[in-house]
Amino acid sequence: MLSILIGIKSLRRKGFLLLLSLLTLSFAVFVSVNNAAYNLENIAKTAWNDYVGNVRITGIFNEDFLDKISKSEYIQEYQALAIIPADIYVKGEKRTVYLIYPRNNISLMSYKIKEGNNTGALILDKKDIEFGKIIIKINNIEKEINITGYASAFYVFGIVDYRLIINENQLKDILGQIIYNVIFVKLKDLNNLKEFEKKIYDYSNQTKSKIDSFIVLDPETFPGKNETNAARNTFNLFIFLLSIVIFVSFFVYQFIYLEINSKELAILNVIGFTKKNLFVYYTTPIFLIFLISTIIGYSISIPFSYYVFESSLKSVPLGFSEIFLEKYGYKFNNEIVLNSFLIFFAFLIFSILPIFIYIYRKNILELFSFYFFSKSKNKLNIPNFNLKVSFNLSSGNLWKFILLIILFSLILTSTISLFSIRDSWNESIENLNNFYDNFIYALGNSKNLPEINNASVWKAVFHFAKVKEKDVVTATFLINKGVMPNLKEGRWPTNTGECVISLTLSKTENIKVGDEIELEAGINKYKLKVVGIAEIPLFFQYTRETRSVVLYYDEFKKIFGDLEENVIFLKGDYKAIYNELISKGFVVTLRSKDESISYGKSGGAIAFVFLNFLTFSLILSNTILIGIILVTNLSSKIKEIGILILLGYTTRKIIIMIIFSSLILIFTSIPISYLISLYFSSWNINMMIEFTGYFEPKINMNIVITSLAYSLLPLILIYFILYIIIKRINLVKILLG
Amino acid sequence: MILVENVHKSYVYGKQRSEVLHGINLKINKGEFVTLTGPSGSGKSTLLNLLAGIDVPDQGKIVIDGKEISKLSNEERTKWRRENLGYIPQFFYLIPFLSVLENVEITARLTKVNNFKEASLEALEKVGLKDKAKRFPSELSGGEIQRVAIARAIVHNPKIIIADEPTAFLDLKNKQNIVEILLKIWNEGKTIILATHDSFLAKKRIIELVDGRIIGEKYA
Ligand SMILES: Nc1ncnc2c1ncn2[C@@H]1O[C@H](COP(=O)(O)OP(=O)(O)O)[C@@H](O)[C@H]1O
Ligand SMILES: [Mg+2]
Repeated sequence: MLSILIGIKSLRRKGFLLLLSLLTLSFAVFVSVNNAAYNLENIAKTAWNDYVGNVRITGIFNEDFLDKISKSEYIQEYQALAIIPADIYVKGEKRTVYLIYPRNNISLMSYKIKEGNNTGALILDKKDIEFGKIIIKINNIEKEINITGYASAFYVFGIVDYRLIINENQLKDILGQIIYNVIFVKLKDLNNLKEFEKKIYDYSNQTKSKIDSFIVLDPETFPGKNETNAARNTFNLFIFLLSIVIFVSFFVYQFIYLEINSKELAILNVIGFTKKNLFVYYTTPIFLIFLISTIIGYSISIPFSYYVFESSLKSVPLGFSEIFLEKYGYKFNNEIVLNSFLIFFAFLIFSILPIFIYIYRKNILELFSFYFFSKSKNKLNIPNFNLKVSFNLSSGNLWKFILLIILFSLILTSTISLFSIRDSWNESIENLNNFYDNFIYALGNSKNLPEINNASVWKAVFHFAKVKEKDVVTATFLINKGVMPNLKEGRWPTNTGECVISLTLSKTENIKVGDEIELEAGINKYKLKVVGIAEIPLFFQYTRETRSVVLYYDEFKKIFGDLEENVIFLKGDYKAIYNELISKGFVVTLRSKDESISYGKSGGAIAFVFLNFLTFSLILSNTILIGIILVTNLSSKIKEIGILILLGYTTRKIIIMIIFSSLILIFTSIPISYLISLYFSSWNINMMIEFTGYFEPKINMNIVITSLAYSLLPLILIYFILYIIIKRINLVKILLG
Repeated sequence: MILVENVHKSYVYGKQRSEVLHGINLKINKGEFVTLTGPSGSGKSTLLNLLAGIDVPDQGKIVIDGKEISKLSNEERTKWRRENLGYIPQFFYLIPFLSVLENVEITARLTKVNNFKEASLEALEKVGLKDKAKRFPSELSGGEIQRVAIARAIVHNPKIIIADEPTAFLDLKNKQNIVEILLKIWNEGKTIILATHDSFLAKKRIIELVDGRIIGEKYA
């Protein structure tokens, strides 16, 4: 009882406040990140499927067709959309726009009005158009459209500058009639898919509608999935590292705590504390701190977790919109709190182990003269006097020194990896977009395409097919006049049953030329022979690479229907073609190679949000650890330092000695970090930011030096703290005991 | 020559401020052996700390060989102390991770003594510990540790040596041994200021301190 009492009183020690705040913070972050990741995964799965349903049908559909559909016994919900590409004049400049009319806003693919009303058109996302009348141009006919509000929706259909939600009257005015070109359906039972597909074709015959494609949407394949995965993987890695850091710091703290207080232990023993008493006395504050910090940490994590969740959603701009959040019910998962509590409790038990061993194995005589870490001092024989003193001031024994090297190596590794990934990222985007001068995105029937030389024309679909269970972009080219992406191996497909795969797909799944792959599109599977491997910018608005498969045109048409999107990679003069496309009624967006490259690079920002986050947390947590080790080590040697000052060592001289020994630490860390980074950065790419395409990160001297500079910054802060501690040493107090 | 003029010193303890030295005046000539006696808590250590430049007085001044050390900055006092002073503390303050020889070498190196190794061994010889130079502090007895502290204080040949109850935790034989060593050093021409509350150890000029005031002086 007495031991518990003085144990509680010992909470007055300054170090405990630091421990309490560290633990509280760690627990809060641990729970928050776990919970945010759990919700991220959930929202990705449920919200998307709720939003788009499970079948997408493209073609030309009239009201009769929709009548039939709405009466179908298989259907739970559906949405029909009319999507019309057009030109729009914004501040005197000609831009491109999709006019979108959703038939029924309380069903799938809904939108949300954020300002104004839908008596006229609603602008999505961008806010640089003011309410009022605006001119659009469709098939060379100019029309006026009244804009009356802003809205939010997930309508990502292609590369256009603006997207407007129009109402029924506006649609009638523009088309003269009401026809739809995309229908999204949610079935009551997915087992009825085959029957439903048959019915749909019957309906189209009966109503003179036309079906281009019938695509089953895979619930596991959704836009933003890769981003969510990346976020999840980053969080996992973060949690893993955090756990190590918490564990190590707790452990180190216990050792140093004992080291500092070994004399106190001995005295207590002298006045009659049994070993059990001592153990209870020393563990009581630890348990109390643990309890308090988990309770406070838990209450912090409730708001913090939502913040992490929301801000990671926002950092993935392509994959999500507010409309998802609206539909999704965010949950604070209490199971995660319990699990985190148990994990932390395990840490606690582990970290109490040294106290136990220490108290039960040492006899009292040893306690007086025993310094836990300095036991091994004699083994490490340092011949140089200055080196010996400085080594002891910064770490004291080999064990701590190695720990410091590992921690610093981790910091350096993360910065080297970050910089090397960033460098290789930029380089790879440049190489990828090097084969053309201009990029044209033309919306219109490809049968009307003009005669084009020095170009290739492509079509691609996203999120509708899988290879080896994972999402791929499926593409084809209908015109090949020499301006083709970099073919690494083999040749382009010349017949059905053949395909070219992207370098990313080849590397991530280890597929080679001559292999056979299976392309899964909805419920259908297609066997394809790989005849080539290429680096193709088919992702992220045609600026980046990802897992993709290039089919022969006829086969592509058979599976996905004929698309209106024509992606043109062009070399040399573009003006003639550009004008001809416009005169033939295409809605055209032009982008130079340089614009593409900078756009592609900017897309990397998403990946770097995660990478920066990871690097930052690594630097932070390891700096704290290094700080704890250096500061507590110094604090435990305050008397020795006092003597040094007494004998005439100046504060400057002491700090120089500490820095000197850290230099050894840093120079040992460089080669270690370099070697780890080589593996870590490429592993990072594949595991953490897998959606960025394949590339091999390179590490050069420049990167190492920059990383070193960044890694040293936090160390300087620690030295400053050490300096202040030494500066504040009170000699009188030390001498009077 | 050491000149102490009207020195006051107080400590702040919590919200309370209590004066420990109430106007000390003292003159110590070069080559003197001065013993500071008085009961525990009378302010001996406080005064010695002021003389050694470890702390500064609140009022009054301390001039040593023409230099007013109470006016120097912290770092300046440190540098002054290492050149001019040898300090022997009350507790056994050795650096545990350095050997006996290395502990002595610290001062020798700091003050740039030529052949610091030989000088350190010589100092150890003076205190009779040359044969234990390679040992670590944890392997020595209390008396031996205090002798190492003396060797460390004299290795750089300072003019003044200050010892604050160096014998407090030693047995009789060791106490006398330490005082003998100090006398031997004094015979080499040093100024020695020794604080002790064992009156039988007091030697030469004895100054008695009670409650922060000098109440008497005698020679023995
Ligand atoms: N750092 C300090 N803070 C508060 N009081 C102190 C401090 N140092 C010494 N004192 C007090 O000053 C008085 C004189 O102490 P000291 O000089 O150590 O005496 P002595 O060395 O003669 O035993 C004592 O009452 C002591 O409690
Ligand atoms: Mg004293």
